[in-house]
Amino acid sequence: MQRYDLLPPEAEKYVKQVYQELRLPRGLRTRVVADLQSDIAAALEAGESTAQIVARMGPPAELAAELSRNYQSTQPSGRQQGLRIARGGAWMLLFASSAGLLLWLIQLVWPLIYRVTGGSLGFAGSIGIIGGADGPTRIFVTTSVTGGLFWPCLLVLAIALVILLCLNRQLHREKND
Amino acid sequence: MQDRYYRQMKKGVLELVILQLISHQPTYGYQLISTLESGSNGLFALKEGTLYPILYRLEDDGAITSRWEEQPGRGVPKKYYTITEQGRRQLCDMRQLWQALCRSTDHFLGEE
Repeated sequence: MQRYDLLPPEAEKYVKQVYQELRLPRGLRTRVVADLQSDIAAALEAGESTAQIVARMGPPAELAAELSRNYQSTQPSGRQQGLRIARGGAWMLLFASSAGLLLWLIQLVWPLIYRVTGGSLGFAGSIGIIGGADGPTRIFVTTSVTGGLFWPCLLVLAIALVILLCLNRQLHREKND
Repeated sequence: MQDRYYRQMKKGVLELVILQLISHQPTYGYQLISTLESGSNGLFALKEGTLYPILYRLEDDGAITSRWEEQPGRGVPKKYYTITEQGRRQLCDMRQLWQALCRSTDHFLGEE
């Protein structure tokens, strides 16, 4: 809840200045503003003057710097955040390569399914026509669309797994520091 | 150099003391700063720049919650912090840890 009509103008100006100087995510800046408004109001009720309060709290830039500095020290380091994001990326690679392998597996067993169901669906894709001068002598050259997936996907899967294991171990170790 | 030790030690116990104060009754920032300063003869002279990050970390951890409360009469609404059940458990753990640390430290200082 942010209402800018509750405090004397100098106090509101002070709070706005702190807000602008803060180097923190927006949600946090909102929290700070809310707490400042609440506490300045309490100080006014306790008998302090706006000038006293502003002097006591210090220049907006200093207060903002102190807040940012003290808040940073309570959060995981930038390096840890980076490691976490990298881990998320490794998971995505894992899923993507697994999906690719799954597709490869399906096309491998498809002839069986094809025969059982007697349908006309196939995984072959037509990629070219040779001798296509006239209709009746056209020869379609086909290939399996997903057949070439196996090795690339397996490679990516293996790499993703290795990265995941390393990152997990590193993050776990740092958590217990 | 002396100042560094002073700040280090103070920082270690600040979160515990603040959580303890909040566990007595719902309170707001200004009240915490006043109580800390008067109750410690100025030893815990806390500024908002130090207090707020501690409150936010406690809130993010789920130890306390905050809400706006209208004041009777024409008072300005204030943002009150209240301790949660999880916060009470955390406070209990922190107090036990503090007591254990105290005993060990005193033992090594030869004052036991």
